Amino acid sequence: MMAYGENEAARRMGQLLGRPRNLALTGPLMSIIVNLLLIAVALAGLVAAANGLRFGQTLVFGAMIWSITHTIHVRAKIGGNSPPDERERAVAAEAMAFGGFMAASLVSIWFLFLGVFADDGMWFPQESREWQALGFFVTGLTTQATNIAAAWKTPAYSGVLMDEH
Amino acid sequence: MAYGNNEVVTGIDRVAMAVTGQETTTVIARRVAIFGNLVLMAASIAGLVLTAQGQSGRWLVFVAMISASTYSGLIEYQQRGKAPRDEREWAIFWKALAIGAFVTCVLAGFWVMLLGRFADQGMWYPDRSEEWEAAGLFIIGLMIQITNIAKAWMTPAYAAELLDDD
Repeated sequence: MMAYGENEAARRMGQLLGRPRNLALTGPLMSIIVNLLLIAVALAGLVAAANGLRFGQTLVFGAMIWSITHTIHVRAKIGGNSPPDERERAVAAEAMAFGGFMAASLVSIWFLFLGVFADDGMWFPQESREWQALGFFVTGLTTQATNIAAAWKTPAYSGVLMDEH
Repeated sequence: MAYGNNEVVTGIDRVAMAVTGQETTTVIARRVAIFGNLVLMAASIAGLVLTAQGQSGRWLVFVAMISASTYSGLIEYQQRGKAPRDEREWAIFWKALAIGAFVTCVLAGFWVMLLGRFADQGMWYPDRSEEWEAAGLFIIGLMIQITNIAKAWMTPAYAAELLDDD
């Protein structure tokens, strides 16, 4: 994915951070690693919130915000100011379909399990802090899975082109 | 548009045409698809409300979900037979699924976040096993129904006409 229009803010940020080429934050591999880490952080936050710790909710919220910021940053870095071309739109649609489908399926499967095991002690949110943490988690998971799918579908050569740009 | 003719479907079409005197494919026109899925969505909501009121509404949510997925499968089979999707059909499929899944996730996330604020003030959330099951089935059903509506919406009119002429 080669930029057709240079994005000054993204270029400046890249220069300031001065990362090695292969570990560029917007590269496909690093994007997958970052979003997997964010999922782990969000899960840890959800567990902490379920155990009554206030910072758990903050962790989940932070992971959600970081994943949204990552999406915007990658889009700005790769696409610049130009609108996405046909291939980029196709990749975005596939990635969104994957991310949304996965998150919605996981939530509904969990609800169905709760229908059977809630009385046996399976956890479900009851306090307002837990509900909020779950809301942030669902929204964040959708974004993170979408980012991972988008990076997975970005061919390696476009990462090279991006770095050499 | 069917690339491979399916004998079973053709036979059913002929029987239905003999009975109704019209092309059965008009039944699967995109406006009917949109209307049908909106009806199924309304049935799902009604089932969820009944369940929340302590009545037996879970079956209604389940039937609406199964009907939406069966409807989706039948349409696919009617249109393509055993042929794989072409590039345009793949593009429409992914876009429709992206809309259906993302809208469902955003709505679910928004509802749960609102619960964080208003659960203590009486906003409904699942508490009994029937309610959890109904909510789970509702989420899956809603995703399928919105996907079907988006797919029908994005299918160009000429494709429906080609289907009728097929």
